Amino acid sequence: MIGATRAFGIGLAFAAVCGCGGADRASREVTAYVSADRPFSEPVMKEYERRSGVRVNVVFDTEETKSTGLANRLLAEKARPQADVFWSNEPVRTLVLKSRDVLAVYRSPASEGIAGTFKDPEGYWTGFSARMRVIVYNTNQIKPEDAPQSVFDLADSRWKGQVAIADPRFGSTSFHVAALYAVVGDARMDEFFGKLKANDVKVVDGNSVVRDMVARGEASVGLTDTDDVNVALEAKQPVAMVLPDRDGIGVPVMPNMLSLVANAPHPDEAKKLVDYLLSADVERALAASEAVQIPLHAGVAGPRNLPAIGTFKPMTLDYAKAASRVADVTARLQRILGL
Amino acid sequence: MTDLLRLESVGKARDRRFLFRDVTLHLAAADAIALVGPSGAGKTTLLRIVAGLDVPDSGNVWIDGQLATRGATILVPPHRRRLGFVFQDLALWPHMTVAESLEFVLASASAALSRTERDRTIDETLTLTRLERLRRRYPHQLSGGEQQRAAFARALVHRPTLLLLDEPFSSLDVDLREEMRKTLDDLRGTLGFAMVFVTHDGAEASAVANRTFRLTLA
Amino acid sequence: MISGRGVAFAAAAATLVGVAVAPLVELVAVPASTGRWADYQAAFLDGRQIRLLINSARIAGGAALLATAIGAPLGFLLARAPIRARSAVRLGLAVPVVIPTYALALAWVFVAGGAGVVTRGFGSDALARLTYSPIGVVVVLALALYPVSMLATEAAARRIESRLEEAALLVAPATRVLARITVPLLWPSIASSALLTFVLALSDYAVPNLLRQRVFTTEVFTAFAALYDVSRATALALPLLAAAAIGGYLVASFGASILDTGRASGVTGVRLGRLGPIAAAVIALVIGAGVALPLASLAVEAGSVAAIRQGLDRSGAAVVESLMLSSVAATLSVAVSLVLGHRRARATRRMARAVDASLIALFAMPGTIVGVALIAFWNRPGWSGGVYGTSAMIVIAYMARFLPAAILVVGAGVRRVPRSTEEAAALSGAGWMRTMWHIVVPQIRGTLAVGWVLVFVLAFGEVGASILVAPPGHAPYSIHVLTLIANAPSAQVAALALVQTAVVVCPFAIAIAVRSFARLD
Repeated sequence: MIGATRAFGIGLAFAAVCGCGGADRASREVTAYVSADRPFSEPVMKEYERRSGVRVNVVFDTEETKSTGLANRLLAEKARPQADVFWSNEPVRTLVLKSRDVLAVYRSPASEGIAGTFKDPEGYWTGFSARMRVIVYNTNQIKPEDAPQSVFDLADSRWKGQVAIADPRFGSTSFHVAALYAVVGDARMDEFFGKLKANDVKVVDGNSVVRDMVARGEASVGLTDTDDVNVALEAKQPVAMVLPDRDGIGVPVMPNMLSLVANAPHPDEAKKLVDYLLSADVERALAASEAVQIPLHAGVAGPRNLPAIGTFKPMTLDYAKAASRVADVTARLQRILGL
Repeated sequence: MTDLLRLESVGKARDRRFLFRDVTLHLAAADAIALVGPSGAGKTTLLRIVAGLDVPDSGNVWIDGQLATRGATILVPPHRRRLGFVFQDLALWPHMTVAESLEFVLASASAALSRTERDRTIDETLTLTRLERLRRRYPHQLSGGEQQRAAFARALVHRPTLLLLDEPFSSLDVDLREEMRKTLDDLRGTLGFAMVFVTHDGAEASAVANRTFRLTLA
Repeated sequence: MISGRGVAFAAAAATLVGVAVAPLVELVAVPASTGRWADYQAAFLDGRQIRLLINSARIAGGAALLATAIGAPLGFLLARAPIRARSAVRLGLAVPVVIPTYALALAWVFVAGGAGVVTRGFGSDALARLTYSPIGVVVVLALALYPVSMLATEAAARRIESRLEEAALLVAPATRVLARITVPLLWPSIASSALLTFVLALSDYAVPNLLRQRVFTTEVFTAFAALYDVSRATALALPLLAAAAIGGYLVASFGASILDTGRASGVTGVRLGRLGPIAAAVIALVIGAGVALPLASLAVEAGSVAAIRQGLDRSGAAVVESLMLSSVAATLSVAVSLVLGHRRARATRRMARAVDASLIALFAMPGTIVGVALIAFWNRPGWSGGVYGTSAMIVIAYMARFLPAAILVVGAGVRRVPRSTEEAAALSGAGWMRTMWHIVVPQIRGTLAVGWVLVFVLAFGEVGASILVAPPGHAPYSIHVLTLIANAPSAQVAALALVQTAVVVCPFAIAIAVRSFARLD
């Protein structure tokens, strides 16, 4: 009896202690919702905190297929935003939020050296530190000269049962397929995915799963992101990558996107954080990290394993148009791929 | 004539002290013995030992000339002792109707009986216990007295020669108790079974049995 | 006159409404008020949704049947067979319910997936094809959920009054008694736990997703994660809710207290003395195949003790925060469920069925929808906004999800407390609070402990709702793991999943060891 009473009292005390978890809005601080992978983004945030003396409250995201993510949180909090800055690692989320009036306009002076293709004409987002969508293949099973060079090669019957892609409804793959539909057209893409389906394509729950399957030899080829492949390369796994369609429609480039949140609690600190994140220093750091992200500022050295942004043909892409196709493309692929 | 029940120096300990020891008694066919004693004397335990639901620490139990329990070893399992038992809380099966419970007992204890004989026996038993119109009722649909009669019916349907009763009337009011005693008398008269009746009520013991065996606290 | 009972009930009811009911009602009602019925129509009239719902029901039904086939006999053995170190064995058998389902599915992929250990051993794709099929999902879900059936059956077997079996033992051998008396008495509890398992399997997303099977929960998830359409996602969740409510009503109608942890008086009827060796073999098989094998595959995939230690090192603060927040949620849930569970236990049968159905429906609600509902409800100007943005929201999210289950457990326990004991206290002059504290609580201490453990374990692994409301800088362990594994090698994922399992299981293992040691003294 006494033990139960004591436990109950301790429980209530804990409850009181929990109340002390809130942010003190009077001191210098800024809150960022970050959908970029935590191992890469957390050090960047900590460095800003160290340099500026501003407390940075960060909420990290999870893999798209494991939970709903920060975009939905931002939408749900729209009436009373908690976040000041949103850092997304792919365009679709940001553009959906822009369309739902969750973001605010801010043209950062730090974006000067970044090409106009990677900035919103209306000023709601700025791109930086990009990844690419690539074809990954198993080097024990495929010689470099035999590796597919185009996304469309994956529909070839010689790859039957050997192709893995992440679920095209989510994450960077959804961006990739929406971009393809926007650039190439519905008829050709419907045909392509129909052939993939006939080829017994394996649809798995994430880009890292694609990478792991190819590394293990469960699939010979797959579509994934550059940073996923780099993890396998660093681990000396038998994989290599191809930048697809460099002579055709171009390589899909996925910049990180930075935005100010509309009606943010700390707008001034938010702008300073955006300025920092768009700086060449940050791009340099992300290029050197396991993220192997390609700087979009001219003249900033990129990762050693990857070409610089000006040395290959990127896909000519209106990011807003690609993002607007997501809902329709999702419905199409659900039908074609039987998702 | 062989005794129907014979206990030889039966003893039982609990919590490091004897409940009872050196209990010796015998019961002939159609005999009725009342087992009396204060609470905690071990009356229920002794009954359970006779039924084979518990084992003594010492002594033997003979049933109808057969050694059923020797010391702590059960030689004849409960279901082969052909006993009837009326529990203190009746222990009626909540998921079976009155008729179903009798059917279950007969099918288990008298598997050789034909379907017709089984039905006849069940009908007879229900008539004897005045439960004909309640055969399709579940225990929770019966009154206190009806439940008591259902417990009698179940204990007697397979026509055991020995009936054990563990304070069967303890929760009944005076009138109902009187009625049940009469019912028990009638059943004994008709079916002719021997009986060990546990009670802590001396007057009741005299009323139901022709002999009394007293258990005292050890 | 304001009574203590009235105040306590009002406070408890307000808590349940505030954390679990009102947010959901508002989330569902808002589309109605803004006229977005088109979302609901589109959700329900689509042939594809109906096909997915049927597929989900088939998989969930298969999982429930298999989980019951595994769990019910185990539960009976735990109750009746001579088993050494019973508490430790029970804990070992119950471990799957602690492992996050995605980790369990991952473990089975490591064993029997395309490049799984067993697959490679056989040198054939057949096992992998089976893994990535509805059968694979059924098997993995069954292995995750059999402890539900096991614990419910064990509790039910202990509750059977021994004299009911003894009355039958007098005329029939033990096997017949088991078949005709014991099993029919256990049947309502077994059926109820099967229904509960069905509801839990129907709501699971992680396993079907990992094993590439198309189920209805994927639609809810797609609406959120691919289409960012909360209204559509909420509409799509309603069939799941309906299934859970119907399942809950049926569970309540069986009249079985599957969550009742009380014991019957008297010695146990049919004992399984001779089946001891067989019981040991069956338990060893289940622990080996169902528990040790997936844990071992996670350990092998993790690769090294160093990797596991590294996982723990990076997660120390998150583990501590999780333990604290889960404990707070469990304590508050037990306090609230004491009041509400007592009220439910003393309600009329019809009211009790309705309450149980509602509580199970709340319990089955996908965590994501709960999270979105909490944001909309709590993130407003005023005092609720002051709460939002603190770690109290994580506790609220845990309670929103698991307080209903705690109420069901405690209510089942209170039903075993004779009303007469409370009435006797009242006649002696004790008020309601005094009666509850001195009469009711002492009689349901075990039940309260079970309720606490249940909420604690479930809260520790919760992510769907808490990830949406956790304030910056406060990431309980389960969220911490998911934010790390987005791009992590599978070895790191495996290591973190092992750590999560160990953190929850170890305190119980230590408690059991201490208790056993104390008994030996």
